[in-house]
Amino acid sequence: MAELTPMERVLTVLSGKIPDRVPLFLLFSMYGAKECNMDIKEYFNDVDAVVDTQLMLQKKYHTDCLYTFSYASIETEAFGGDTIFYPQGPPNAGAPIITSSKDIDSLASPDVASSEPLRRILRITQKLKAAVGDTIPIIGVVMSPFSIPVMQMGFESYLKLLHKDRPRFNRLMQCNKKFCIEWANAQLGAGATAICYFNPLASTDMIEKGLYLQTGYPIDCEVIKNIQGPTATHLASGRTQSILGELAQSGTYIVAVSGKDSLANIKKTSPLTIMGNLCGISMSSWNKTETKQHVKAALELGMPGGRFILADNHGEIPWQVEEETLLTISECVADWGTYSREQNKE
Amino acid sequence: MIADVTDLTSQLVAALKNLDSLQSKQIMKTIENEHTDPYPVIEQILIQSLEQIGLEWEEGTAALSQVYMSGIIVESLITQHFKEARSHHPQDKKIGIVTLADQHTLGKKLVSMMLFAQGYQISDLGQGLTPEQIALAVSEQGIDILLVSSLMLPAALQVKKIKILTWGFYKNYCGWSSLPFESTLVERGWR
Repeated sequence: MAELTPMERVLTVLSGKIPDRVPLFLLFSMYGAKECNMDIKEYFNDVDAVVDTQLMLQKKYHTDCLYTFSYASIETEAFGGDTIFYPQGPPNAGAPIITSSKDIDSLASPDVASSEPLRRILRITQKLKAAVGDTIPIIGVVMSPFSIPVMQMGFESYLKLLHKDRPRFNRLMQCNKKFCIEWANAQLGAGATAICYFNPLASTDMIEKGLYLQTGYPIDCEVIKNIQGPTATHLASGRTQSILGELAQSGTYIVAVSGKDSLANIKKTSPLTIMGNLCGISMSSWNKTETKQHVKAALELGMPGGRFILADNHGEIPWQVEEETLLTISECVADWGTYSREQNKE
Repeated sequence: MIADVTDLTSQLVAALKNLDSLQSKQIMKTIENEHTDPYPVIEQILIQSLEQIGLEWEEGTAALSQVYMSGIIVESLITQHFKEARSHHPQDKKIGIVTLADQHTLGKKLVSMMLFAQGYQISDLGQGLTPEQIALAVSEQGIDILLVSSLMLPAALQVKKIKILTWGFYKNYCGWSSLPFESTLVERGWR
């Protein structure tokens, strides 16, 4: 089979057919700053640096996507929050913008066009689209309305709201839903091919299934329906297996699974394309032999029948992962990720 | 016939996971009615139940929200009903708890609730502290046992620095992280 472009490869997988080889998504956010030797905050503020680095990383590691994600709290910045930057790790949301549940009563959904940080992401998206056209998928990112409150008000306060104040929970969801749909569609309008829909709280590691199905799930289904492009639901390392059936019914195209999930079981039960599930944390200590072992094991479980994209399980390559490890992953995909002619005919 | 402690623990685990505070209270009342000295039994069942739910979270059969809400219910049971009667753990060491380098405080809260249920008194040293600030707080407050919480990988890897900074005057650490399944962190961060 002739070598496909990354876009052709990914679209082949999404259509349920067998591509030339397994697509590789190495999701580089802050890792770009490491690669171009910049301070993380300066890097994310520099549109051209991010664009150039994304293009460079795609070529260097032979990955099959570009990734416009910078850090999760860029969305709470749009709500008036701030971000704390660290030298060698992902930025954290600053102090909660909702300090009392009463604040929710007057909370307004921010206007995407009025947020400079979000406009910066849109400029990155536009420039990447201008550079690659339809040859490489550009992945945008939103936080689910159900998960972003962890940053808006702190995890503990949000759990109390979820369990004890349903009217204000509903109001917060209305506000977040409007923002999420507008933000996702703005990215698609700027040239993103698909939206990575981060929703760690949908994992049964975080919220019990019954409560999620009653509260967050209908919201997620509605949002995904209103996003005018394909979505990949990502539980950011949270286990997926026990909620997989419901996620498959939510309208999403791809589900990213955890390193703690059994890829074999997931592949047996999921009608969707699966993305995963290399553990980013342990990846940061793998030597070359271990890297090969982990990639080989994931490919052996994930490749049969297609519908598989090799990626890390958190949606972000940690700063601490060695360049050699990433190069080895890429080499392994080239060596072992190719489908045979017989498999292509299946 | 006196109800079996194991049965009562199973009942309480189920009630806590269902966030059923009324049923939880009812189980406590059953113990009070059946035992002449009920509080050691109550304490044992509360602790075993929280430990069981914590283990189920690690195994993937309970959610973090259930761990947290169970802690809240148990905390409420203790403060509302057994505050006077409960035994305080004999404690000749001062325990401090802190979130290292980042702002994720839920882990600290969960461990604090667990220790509270066991009768321990804990000093909260704060959140988002650097290893240097933690070493200073340990020294100034005379902390004997330090509990360190971290969520982000770079923070977890800084624990060694606390050990180096407090080397010579401090020996008791207990670390955990939101990455409980990542065994390499033990070598890289905690030892």
